[in-house]
Amino acid sequence: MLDALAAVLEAFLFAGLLSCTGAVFAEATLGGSSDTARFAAQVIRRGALLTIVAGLAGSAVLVVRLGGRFDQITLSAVFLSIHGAAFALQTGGALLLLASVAADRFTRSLRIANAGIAILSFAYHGHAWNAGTGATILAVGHITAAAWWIGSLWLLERACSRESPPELAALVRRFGALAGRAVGGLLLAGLILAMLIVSSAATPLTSPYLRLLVLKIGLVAGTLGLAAYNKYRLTPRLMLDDIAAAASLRSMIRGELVLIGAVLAATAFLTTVTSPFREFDF
Amino acid sequence: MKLMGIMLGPAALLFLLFMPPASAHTAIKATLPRDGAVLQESPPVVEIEFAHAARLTSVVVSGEDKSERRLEFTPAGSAITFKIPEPGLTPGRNEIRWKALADDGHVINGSLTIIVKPDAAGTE
Repeated sequence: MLDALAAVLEAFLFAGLLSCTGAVFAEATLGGSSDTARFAAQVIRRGALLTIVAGLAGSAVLVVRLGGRFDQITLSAVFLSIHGAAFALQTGGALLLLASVAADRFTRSLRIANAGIAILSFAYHGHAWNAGTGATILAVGHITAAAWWIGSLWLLERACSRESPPELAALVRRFGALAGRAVGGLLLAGLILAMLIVSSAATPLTSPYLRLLVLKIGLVAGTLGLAAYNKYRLTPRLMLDDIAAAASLRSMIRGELVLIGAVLAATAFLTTVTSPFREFDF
Repeated sequence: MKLMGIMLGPAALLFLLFMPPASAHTAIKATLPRDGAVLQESPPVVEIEFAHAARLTSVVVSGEDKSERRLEFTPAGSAITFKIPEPGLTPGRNEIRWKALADDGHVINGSLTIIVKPDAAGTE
């Protein structure tokens, strides 16, 4: 039960961290109206708070999973390990994001650096750490692209109900121009990363890790299906000032976010309760 | 941001229902005495050797009367082999359960059973 709780907290940590950093990246690349900027600041604030709360709760649960003693041995195991390094970067990055919400140009640049600090925590996360430096760099790139995608979806979801059709169409156009490369990079990095981890660990084909990984890939495929529908069916209608297309796009983006939530939950369970390494088999 | 709940709620519930059972990792390479050993008296030291570096955080022994006792161990940091000096096992079946954090951040745990012959004397 504690393992399940740890995985759920990890999923919330992923959601918070990717939402707040993603909103920073999306705001910097997509621009948008003052309402979009205000909403981005709201996503950054709430995502950063969720990151801090989930990170603290996850650390407390880890102490309990390690025997429940808040003594020097357990606390140094938790905070002087890769968990501690990841915790320091994600919490530090989130706190800096909370402190850099102003709309001036300098603060916006600072926000990108702060989001980068939080994203770097993924260098110390999951199984990429065991698979070498190349895998670690790929993991950070993979997460950065995922964060941008999630942040963009939050902003687009809001814009569908708040922006005028020309504003929304312009935002969708800017998103479309970058999404192909970002999502392509995300997928490529993810696939190479999965192959590196599985091959370095000689993961048995029937392991829970591989089964969950296949489920995650299936969920990603579903998300891509929705994204493709948005790009090839709804976006052209939006460009023709079809009012109903905005409402449809909003529903589809919500569907994408729910599927991405499932992907994050799968990833949290992959990295918390399963391992690609044979000797950690359940 | 209501969507944050919608985003993760159903997924977390689904994974909770279908998650693999998490228990009984077997990340140790060897123990001394070995698991299941039958001894005349309590060993002077118990050694746990991991397959990879880890940080041992908890070792608990329970004897025939099911009462639990924490055991001290060395070293305190990351290592491959840990020693539990003077475990003071009592006559009968002793289960030693351990918990550790692997260097890749995974929580690992396991147990070994050592039987001290009931007619043994001087188990401390």
